[in-house]
Amino acid sequence: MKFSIVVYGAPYSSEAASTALNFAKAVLANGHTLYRIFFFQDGVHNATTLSVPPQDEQHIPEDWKMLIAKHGIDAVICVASGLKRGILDQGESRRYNRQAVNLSSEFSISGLGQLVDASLKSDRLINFGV
Amino acid sequence: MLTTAAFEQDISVIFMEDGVYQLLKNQNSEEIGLKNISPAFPALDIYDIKKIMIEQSSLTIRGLSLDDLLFSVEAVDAVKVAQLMEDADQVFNF
Repeated sequence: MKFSIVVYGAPYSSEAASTALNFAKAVLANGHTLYRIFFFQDGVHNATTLSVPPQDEQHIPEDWKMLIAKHGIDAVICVASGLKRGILDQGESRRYNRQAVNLSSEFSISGLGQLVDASLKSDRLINFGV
Repeated sequence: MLTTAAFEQDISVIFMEDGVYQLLKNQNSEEIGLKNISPAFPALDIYDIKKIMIEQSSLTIRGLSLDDLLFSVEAVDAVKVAQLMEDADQVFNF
């Protein structure tokens, strides 16, 4: 089956992000495909390069990076959500004259159309953190 | 809603619980420094989103009626909401 996942929750603020991560791993481990992972609203915080969690805790943003890189997953953050919350790639940072770039390179920035597209092209769209 | 309509999908929208407040007439949020999004609602019609409903008990519990709303919407009950969700290929919650 083809799955897509939508993550609404920020890492550590609730269990949504880490459950989504575990679910993504389970989808792949069980031989299904992941069409897209869409990070929306507070979910965009999962894509930061700046997180420094305690050494003895799960590094959620890092775990996402590794999973996405390992399986070549299409990981998208919503542009409007990212801008509001200050998760910027080079293009957006330059455009708005901000001091830094903090979007992990494994993620791309796009719009809600990618979410609608995922819902149309996947067999199942699973939401975490709504 | 608008993005989904732009993809030419068949959409039904249900306002429920605190969501019903979004449809109130005469909103003025200037004093609290927040954006008033109610002027955007006519856009739904332009995008051909006609199936707009409001969950009846959400209105009643909040001491509101259909007359308090910006435009006329169909009131539905919880049973109908469940049926709409079952009939849909995809449900989004916001």
